[in-house]
Amino acid sequence: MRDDAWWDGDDDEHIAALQRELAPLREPPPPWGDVHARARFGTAPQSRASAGRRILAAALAAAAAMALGWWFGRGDAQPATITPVPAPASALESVPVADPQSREREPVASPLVVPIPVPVVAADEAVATAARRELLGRQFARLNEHEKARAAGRTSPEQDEAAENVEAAARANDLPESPTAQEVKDALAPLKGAAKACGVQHGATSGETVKIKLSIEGATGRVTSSTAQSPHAGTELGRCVAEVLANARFPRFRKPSIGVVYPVAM
Amino acid sequence: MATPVQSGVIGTGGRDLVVDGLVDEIEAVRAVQAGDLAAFAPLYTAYWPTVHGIVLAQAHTVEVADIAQDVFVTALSRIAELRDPAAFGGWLATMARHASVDAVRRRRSTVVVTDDVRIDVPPPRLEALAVLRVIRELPAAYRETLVLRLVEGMTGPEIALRTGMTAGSVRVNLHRGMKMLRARLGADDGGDNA
Repeated sequence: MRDDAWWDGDDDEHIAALQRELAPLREPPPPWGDVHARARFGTAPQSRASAGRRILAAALAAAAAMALGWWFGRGDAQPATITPVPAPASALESVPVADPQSREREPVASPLVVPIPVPVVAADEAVATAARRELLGRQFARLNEHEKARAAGRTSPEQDEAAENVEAAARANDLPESPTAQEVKDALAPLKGAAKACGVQHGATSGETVKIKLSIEGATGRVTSSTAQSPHAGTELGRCVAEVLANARFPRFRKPSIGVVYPVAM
Repeated sequence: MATPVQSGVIGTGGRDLVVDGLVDEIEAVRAVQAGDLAAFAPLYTAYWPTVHGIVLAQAHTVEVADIAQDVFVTALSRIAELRDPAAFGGWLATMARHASVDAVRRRRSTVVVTDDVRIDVPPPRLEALAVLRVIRELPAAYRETLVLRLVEGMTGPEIALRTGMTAGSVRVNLHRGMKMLRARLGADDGGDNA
């Protein structure tokens, strides 16, 4: 008898048998890179010493962004134009890329990029999206340059923090406004089989359609509510299908949430 | 405190946090608090089964991996608040319990999804889910310890070390929990295993 028996209150064989039976529930950890990236772009840890400095840098970044926003927006009094207007190139080019001389010239707050949202007045969403993506691409390119410079030790802490702020803002904005209809269909397709099984389970007639209203949270892409619509509201069949579709995962998007009505034919 | 890690020797700032497969947890926590994100990697590997098990004891199975990952992201963002690096395990376990409770509450407010309606679950997993369902019916104090022991394969002393529970609590939870589980599984099988 090994030492663990003292802990388990049971014999080795029974424990081992249960462990074998429950083994399929074990999951390996997702790649460390995923957690690292989420922490880096979202909520990076702050040492106590650097917290104050980060707050100061964020405040300076916000002030500079507001000033630049006012400067570039002041002459733009006519509201309705149908041409997408990208942000001024000068603003986007001003990510604090390493340059020893510029560090001396502009010590803390000056080389800050205008955070996206990009000032796009759009009638055509597709064109606006393309413009935004192009701008984001340029911004990330500048950030890459900064990253190389940082690796070479040619940046100041203030420049690094400003770049991190820009990077976080850019990541948050590099999402579509909302998922496309195709993306919604693709996300729900793998669940169709299980949803149809509800029909067999609850005696639905062939061809009967159950409509489910889903609310999807943009920040996570998860379903926050799933309810069957009339005439299946409150029925076992409606509840069953709603439960299945609640497991859907959608691509993340910028809107806080969207509603989707999805019909499932039994 | 040193714990085994399967692979990866992380050298950060001149320090080797993993030597001969053992991670120096206190040093790793201190390094992360000093801003070295990479030092969190061995902690993530070492504590994944603990967090996964705690979450699995309560939350819906399809959400477990996501919730567990969220716990690590939150821990990483709040690690500066941890005053005693030696208390990392208990601190992380508490965070995992809160995250599980939040997830269950969130799901209850919308719609309860059960495993029964999924038809794409392979049979071995279905059997495991059936046992898990019985474990989840046990009192809260026992189910977490049992999941860590039976699903994650941790020993009693390991559970105590990782979760910050006292050795006595773990021993009692395992002993009583196993007794109840055996009785219930025996009852489900028509008393054959009793």
